[in-house]
Amino acid sequence: MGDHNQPFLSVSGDPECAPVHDDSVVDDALHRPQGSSKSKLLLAVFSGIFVVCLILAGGYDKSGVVKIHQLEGGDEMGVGPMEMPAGSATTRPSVSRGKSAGVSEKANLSPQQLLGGGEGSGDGLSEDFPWNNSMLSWQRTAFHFQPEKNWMNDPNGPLFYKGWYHFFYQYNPNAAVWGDIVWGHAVSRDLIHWLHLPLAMVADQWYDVQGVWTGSATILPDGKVMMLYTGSTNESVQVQNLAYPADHDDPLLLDWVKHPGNPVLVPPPGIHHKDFRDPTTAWQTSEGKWRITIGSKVNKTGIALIYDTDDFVNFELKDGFLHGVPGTGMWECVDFYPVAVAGGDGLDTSANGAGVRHVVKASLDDDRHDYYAIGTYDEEAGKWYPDNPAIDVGIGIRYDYGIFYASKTFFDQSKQRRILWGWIGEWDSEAADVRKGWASLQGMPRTVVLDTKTGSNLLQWPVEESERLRLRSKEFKNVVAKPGAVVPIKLEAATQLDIVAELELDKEAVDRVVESNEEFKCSSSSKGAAHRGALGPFGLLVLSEETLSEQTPVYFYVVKGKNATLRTYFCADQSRSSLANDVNKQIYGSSVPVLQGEKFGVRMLVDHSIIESFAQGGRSVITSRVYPTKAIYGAARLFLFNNATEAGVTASIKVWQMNSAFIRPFPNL
Amino acid sequence: MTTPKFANLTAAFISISISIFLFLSSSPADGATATSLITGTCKQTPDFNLCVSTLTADPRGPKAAGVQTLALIIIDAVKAKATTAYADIKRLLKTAPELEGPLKSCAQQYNVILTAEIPEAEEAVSGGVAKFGEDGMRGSASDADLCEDGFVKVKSPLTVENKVVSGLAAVGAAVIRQLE
Repeated sequence: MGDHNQPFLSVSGDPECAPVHDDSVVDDALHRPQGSSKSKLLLAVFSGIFVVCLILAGGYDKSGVVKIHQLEGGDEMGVGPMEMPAGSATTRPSVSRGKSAGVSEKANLSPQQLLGGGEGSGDGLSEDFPWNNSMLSWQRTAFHFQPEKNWMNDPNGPLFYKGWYHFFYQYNPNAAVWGDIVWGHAVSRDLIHWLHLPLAMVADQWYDVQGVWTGSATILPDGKVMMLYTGSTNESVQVQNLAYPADHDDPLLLDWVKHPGNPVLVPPPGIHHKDFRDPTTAWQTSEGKWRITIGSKVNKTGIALIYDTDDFVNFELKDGFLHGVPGTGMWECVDFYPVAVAGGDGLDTSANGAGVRHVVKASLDDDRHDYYAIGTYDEEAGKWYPDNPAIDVGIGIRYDYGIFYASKTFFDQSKQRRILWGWIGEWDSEAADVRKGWASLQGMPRTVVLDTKTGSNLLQWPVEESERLRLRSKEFKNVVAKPGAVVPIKLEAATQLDIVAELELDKEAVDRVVESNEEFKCSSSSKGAAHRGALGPFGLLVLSEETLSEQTPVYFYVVKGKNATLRTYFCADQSRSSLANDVNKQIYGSSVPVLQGEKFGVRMLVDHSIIESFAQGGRSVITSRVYPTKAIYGAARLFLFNNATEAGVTASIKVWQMNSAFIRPFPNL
Repeated sequence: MTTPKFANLTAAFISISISIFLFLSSSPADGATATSLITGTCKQTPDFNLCVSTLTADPRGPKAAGVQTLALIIIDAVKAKATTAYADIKRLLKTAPELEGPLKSCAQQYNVILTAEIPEAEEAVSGGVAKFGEDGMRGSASDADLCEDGFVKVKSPLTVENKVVSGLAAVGAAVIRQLE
């Protein structure tokens, strides 16, 4: 664009890999061949005129205003052609939104654009949604972890210690947006009923004054706790620091001591000082050393660095990386842990040997999704290899196809299980967050095991303690939904629910329908759940209003492909989840394996503005944040729906009302 | 000098000078030249001209060694524009009471921009966690849009300012995106 204006400049086409450019100033014009005295005279006079021209041109611009940075009314420096380069965000979708009951935004708009929310003005539908306090306060959850106010992000250092589950988290004590990050802290007996404790660590040292960032806990064989965490120094360099409890006899681990010799790790050569963060829990090597991994990147290749240590103070960088995947960008919050091939219990982080596979997980900074892959750990070489390179870390399976990031597991030694925490951000506007005074939740903690039936993915499931929240239940057996039907599931209330549903397609219809070569993806149709196929979509309408002016479909979509094989997709559609225009309206999900003889099964935790949906026993999971304006409090409803054109659906549904977890400050501290 | 040579030299001087003068005055980088870093970065934003002019107008721009500095310059520019807009909103609340409704919303939105979203962007970009900087800039653009959209049946007195803040913040988000 406008290259004719800059004839002397060469434009770099790929800034990604080379963030530092030479500052080449245009001075080619001044070069002239030195020759005879006449040429020298020419040069001298020319230079003089040139200088005069520079002085004159310096104060002149297109609009005639002298100083560029005083943009007054009528300036012509405003909006240029609205190009849409890949990866950038514009704030106004270029298509106007249809009415609330109808069509959603085109699927090719990025989530960021949808989140930006601003309408083209003048179409009459572009009012800023008038959120009121009733709508906003309804959004707070009843049984998901969140601090009393302000901003939270990554889970930190989860562990079980002396009878208490500990949870730490990135917290902004001053605002409902990210910033001024310190470590919040809470404890629970059962991963459900959390009690807030004072901040565990604040930004009071030069090596973490710009942020006490994410870290992980390691419990030593003698029971002592080592906490490694990232600090952003006074010069914004990312370093790793060691902290430990001030009093190991305090089961609440209230006070923490930062190791006087901090930092214990600084960015190694070749690693940028802003690409070095989120140390993992350590695991033991056969040499008796402790080993950790830290995510980073080299150009666009995401990598996991490996360090060995005896004492958590002196570290040895191992050659090469644990693993890396080109094109994936920065790996944040790397996690590394063993899973048992036989399924069942979780494994201590140091477990290894026959019957064990290892999982590498990374949070990709570039797309804000968490990816994992299963593979083989070669301890001697300090390397890990994926079972299937086609679905390597960052290019394959995600923990969750909704909003779920910076996740971290820990081994719960009291119940021999591996538990997964994940940061659930907001999908409304930052302005609304500031207004309501808080932002972000944690997901319901989930157990993680290898799916023994497929062998190639993990299963996630809400921890069993979640069932302690169940109050009264209602069962609906063999509810039939013909093609096109929407069937009310009558409940006393529909905002705090645990739903377990099994659904079946009419077998005769499945046999009868012709094969389709539809290439389906949840996001491929802008109609979402209104896009009808022979065998789908069918599922539940959650947090819906009586007249369906607001509805959040969570559903299966089945395609009968070649050789009569069925492919199943599990999706959530937020396009009509709210009448507000400044919230996420995406449609998303993934394919999910459904094995021979299995019915379509889903468990959903509905807790005000969060929905967590687990398909096929946790083979595919979707977390959603929804912000209805009408389908709140007593007006929220639940429906079974079937938008398939050819097949009826029969469902058996059990719904529990869920109690509050009464998350509150620890009493009498 | 003989007359023909002098005439040739003069003609050469004048034509070259005029050409240079025209080049410089038609360049958007008036007086300060857009480096390849600036143009390369700005090409990946929704408004190349706004991006280049903002960056070259700041003394740090042409000297910038990396995209992070450019991002901070844009954030500062958004802050400056938002500060002016906020002052104007406060003034209009007194002088245009018939617009109280949407103006009050605008005051809220610009307050969020100035007290939450811009500080978030500054801290995130300085600290190397660009995505929160993107959030802050996108949030700022969104809030400027929401302010503008609040004037439904009446003409907005803040259109130009809202557009500038929104456009500049969108440029900021795109520049920050290149840090990831």
